[in-house]
Amino acid sequence: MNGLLLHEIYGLKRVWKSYLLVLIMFYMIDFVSFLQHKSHSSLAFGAYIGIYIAFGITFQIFNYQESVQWNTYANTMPVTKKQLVSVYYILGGIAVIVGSICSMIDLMLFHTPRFSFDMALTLSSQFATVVLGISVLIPLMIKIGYRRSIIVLILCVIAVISAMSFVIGLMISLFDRYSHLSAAPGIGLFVLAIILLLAVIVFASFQISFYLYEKKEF
Amino acid sequence: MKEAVRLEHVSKSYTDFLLDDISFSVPGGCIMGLIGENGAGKTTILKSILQLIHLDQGKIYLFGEEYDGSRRERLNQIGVVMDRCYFEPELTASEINKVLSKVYANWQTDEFFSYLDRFSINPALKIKEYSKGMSVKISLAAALSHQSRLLILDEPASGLDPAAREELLDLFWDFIQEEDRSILLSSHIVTDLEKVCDYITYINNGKLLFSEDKDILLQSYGIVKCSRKELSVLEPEAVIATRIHSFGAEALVKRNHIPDGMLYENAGIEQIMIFQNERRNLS
Repeated sequence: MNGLLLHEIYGLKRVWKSYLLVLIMFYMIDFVSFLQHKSHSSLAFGAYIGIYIAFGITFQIFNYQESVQWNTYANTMPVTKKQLVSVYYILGGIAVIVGSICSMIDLMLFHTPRFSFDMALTLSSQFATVVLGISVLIPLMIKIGYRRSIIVLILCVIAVISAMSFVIGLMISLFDRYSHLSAAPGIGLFVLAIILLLAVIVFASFQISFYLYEKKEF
Repeated sequence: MKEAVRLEHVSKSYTDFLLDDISFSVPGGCIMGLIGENGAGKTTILKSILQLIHLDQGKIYLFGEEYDGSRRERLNQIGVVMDRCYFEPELTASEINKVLSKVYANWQTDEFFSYLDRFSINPALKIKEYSKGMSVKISLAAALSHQSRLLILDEPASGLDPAAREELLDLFWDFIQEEDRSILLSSHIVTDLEKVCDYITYINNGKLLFSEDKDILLQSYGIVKCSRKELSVLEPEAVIATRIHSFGAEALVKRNHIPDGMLYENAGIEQIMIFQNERRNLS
């Protein structure tokens, strides 16, 4: 498994510089806005771009693998299919966590002076969207390949944006309704429920991905 | 010595192709050449052995035990070289070494780098900068560096110049010197296989035409060149196939059935293949 992860990490070295540059660029935009307003930035590009880069990284892994047909060779090695599928989720998970940290850094630096419920909601809604997106994308890309997944994604972009807007809107309305409860145990349970729900979705996604991968021929 | 690989009644169908009831075995300690034209089914056979595809029927045995793709640790003993390099183009040979050392239980870093040295491959050079020959060599170095007992190679020599092909054949000879090591090598370059193989298996349009010891094969057949009238002298059961030309006829014949005094030539593997193909087309 470590060898498989290392192979993908080495492969991502061609893009990490580009992503870092994009991240820095959006940080700079937020920084300039922060300076103009003296206390906070009115823009939030950096707050979102970090976590959405996780999407890009997951896409890139599939893209490179497909272009060199890596899975054909990988399946001749003494690794299980479960390990081969796990690589996507582990790397996607790492990317989401690192992206979330980058987003949090931007929010804390340029938007609010300290951690707040507003920031937590913003981050968690983005986090949930990206986790949902990756959970759908991975089985899709295993089933129909990277290129056709992109086409499906473009065709479904309106639905995806609508779903994202719904999730964000839901999180904001929850904030409006329950912000006075931010210290109450109820909201903690709610957050825990969301986390559990996401865990169930990711688990289901993994099982579907493994099932599809087992059926594949190379 | 145990068989390295055995296929029993292996079949696989695609929309416009059928690999039909293939059964043969690769004896231990030998090199078997899998010959056939493009699209004959050679790669399908190799993929079926490695369980890269799902078989419609049949069984695969590796080192005497049935292999259905579940006990993946057995792949530690198999080195695979396909017709191209499947590594991420941004990787260098040093990085491939680090990756594979974490995959294979018996990975030998020293051996890998000694092969790189032998092949004059710079460990710091990226895969995307390799030539076709270098790509095959890095794949071969990887296949040879984890104490594999069986090498499976799919058209490794295609696209290589004659000098590189000779170097490859020398490597196969070196590999096979150790007891209990076997090679299954697919190619459509018959001359290469004639030089190095102990056994030849011929696949044509998804069907197995023969799987035989190379020396026995070459000693069993002869080519008779005669007139059409003289052809009738030959026993029908002894004639594998005939080719009629405007100036006469050629027949692939079992040598022990050729009448005394009748001249014949030794049949090469390529000629045997061509005549077997003719026979199949007629039937």
